[in-house]
Amino acid sequence: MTTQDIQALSPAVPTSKGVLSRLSPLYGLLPLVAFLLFFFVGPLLLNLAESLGMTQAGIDFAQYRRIFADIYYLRVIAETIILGVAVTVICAIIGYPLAYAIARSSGLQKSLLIFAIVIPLLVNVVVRSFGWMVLLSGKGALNWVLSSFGLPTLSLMYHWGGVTIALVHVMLPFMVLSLASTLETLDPRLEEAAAVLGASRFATFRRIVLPLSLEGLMTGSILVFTLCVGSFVTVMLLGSTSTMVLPLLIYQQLNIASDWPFAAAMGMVLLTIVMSVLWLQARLRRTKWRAS
Amino acid sequence: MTQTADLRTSQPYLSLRNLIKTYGSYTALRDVSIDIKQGEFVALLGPSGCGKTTMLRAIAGLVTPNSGDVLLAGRSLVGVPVERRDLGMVFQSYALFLHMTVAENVGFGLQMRKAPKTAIAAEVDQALCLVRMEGLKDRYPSQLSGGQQQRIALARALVTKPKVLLLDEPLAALDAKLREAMQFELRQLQQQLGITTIFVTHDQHEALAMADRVAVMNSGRVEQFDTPRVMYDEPATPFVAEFIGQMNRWPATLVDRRGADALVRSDSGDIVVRSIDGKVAVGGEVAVMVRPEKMQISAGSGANGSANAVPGRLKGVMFSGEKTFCYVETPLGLMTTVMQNRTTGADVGLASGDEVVVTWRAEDTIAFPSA
Repeated sequence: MTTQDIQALSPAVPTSKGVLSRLSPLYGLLPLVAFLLFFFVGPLLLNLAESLGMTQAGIDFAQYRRIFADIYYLRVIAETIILGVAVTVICAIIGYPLAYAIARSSGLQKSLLIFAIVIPLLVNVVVRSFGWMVLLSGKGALNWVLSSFGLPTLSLMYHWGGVTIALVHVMLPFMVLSLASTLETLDPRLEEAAAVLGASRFATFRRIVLPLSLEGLMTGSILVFTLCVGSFVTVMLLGSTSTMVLPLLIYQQLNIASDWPFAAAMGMVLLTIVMSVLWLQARLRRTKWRAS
Repeated sequence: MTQTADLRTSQPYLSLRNLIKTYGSYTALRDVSIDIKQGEFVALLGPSGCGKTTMLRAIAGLVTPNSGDVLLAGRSLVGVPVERRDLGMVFQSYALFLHMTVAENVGFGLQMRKAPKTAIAAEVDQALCLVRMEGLKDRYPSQLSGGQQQRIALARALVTKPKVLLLDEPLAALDAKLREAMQFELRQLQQQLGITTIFVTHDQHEALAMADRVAVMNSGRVEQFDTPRVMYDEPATPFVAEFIGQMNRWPATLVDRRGADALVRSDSGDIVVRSIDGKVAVGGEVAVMVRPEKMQISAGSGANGSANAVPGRLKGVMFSGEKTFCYVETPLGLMTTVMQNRTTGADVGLASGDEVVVTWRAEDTIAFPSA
């Protein structure tokens, strides 16, 4: 089409140009949208169909009934959630002071602190898990130290304790970095103002710093919880049948039992848990005091 | 009655004694000592980095001095944590708590003092009334204008009835018109409450207009601490002379002392100078200073009976509303003179390039030993 053609057309379609120019920034997203539709939404729908037995005629909730009627599966779901919550809470408690230190430091000190937080992410999660096995196993480094001091040894390997320790180690950077990014935006004058007004350090934290950093705490918690309930390698290497979680169960159903519809249904349960946490966060997010 | 009042005002209420504060190799406060009376409004004035904010923060307890003492009503504050000093402070950024309403912000200090709820509500109402912000109790800071936020920060600092009110450039973020209005209002409020107030500013006009006394600071030292008028008319150091207001300045040599006056010799003949530092010996180098508004400018070359006169050529005239600035090229360098535009249609009656004479009185002439 020549320029003249376009000019001739344009009076006939006066709105099309406006709509196009308004949408133009979104064009760049098209490849991504196509990719996600094909490789994410598509398989997800297939998975849903598989879990509902839709390859045959009609919808069948049999797989879901199997999960929710069996106390064993319910316990696995509960323990998966409890593990996620426990790791999230521990990460928040350990991570908060660390994030605060990063937010309030500057220059080389800040770079070093961030580097120290991020460096575990550079090591493959399998290697890290093996590292924890070396440390925590029955004849591992930790017990060697304990026994050389005449203290009773701990059996952390193949128990929730070991799994939790290793997961906290893996997840901590996510919590610290999202907390630090929120704490950095906090004017240090706010804490000074609170102190001058008579607030103790604890009161300043509880009434000023914590409420104003809730956003970062929430983001970090969602990240850690989501990654945690979906984590597989660490739990498989450091856990056992007594530390069964949903991802491991799904793996077993796929690879050992070859029960694809059941595995698909459990996958949907896991997805629902994560989605409901995200929904909860959206509900809890306080926007009342933010500038519109 | 009068005697007791005098006694009280002559007693220092807040004293800084030999305060020293260093950050690594940088010295923010070099041996600072000043005494502030009860109910006094003191401005700390100086260029950025002069130590004025460090001084304010040392009083608040937000900065720990390396040595020296801060005395409040005769008791040392050193070692007393910030939260127990019972002071009020307004920050340049206001530092309002964004997640709290106006009422919660203002009530925070009372809550920390464990005041009962009903008492807090009453005190908050009163404080908001004081800053004329009664109607905004349930708003959040993000819903307020800069001027409103500033008033809330002030109400929050005043509600606990602090012993001293510390203000760290509280008006710097406001636009010029609003700032002028707030200067007057703040001063009125301070006098109404009789609260001892220390105000940090880099704006000389603000300091002169608002304060009972001004402390001019320069590289960690207090150069002069006096009333605005004395500060302006009798600056103690060349820094104060040139930092506050404008000054024409040129070099000269001390020739003779005659009682209160002194005679100095410059490139344009002899000049009579008001009192001069006793340390300067005859033959010593001095810097002579005269304020532009103390100088007269007229056509011709006569001295018009003034003690001092210097001939020159008018280089330019700049009309700026209430004043007209004239720039005169003289053997002593470029001189600025200022004329008040008192009458309508008043004109300098001179044009650029005219031969003029600049005259001024001996008592308006000051001299400092050359550094």
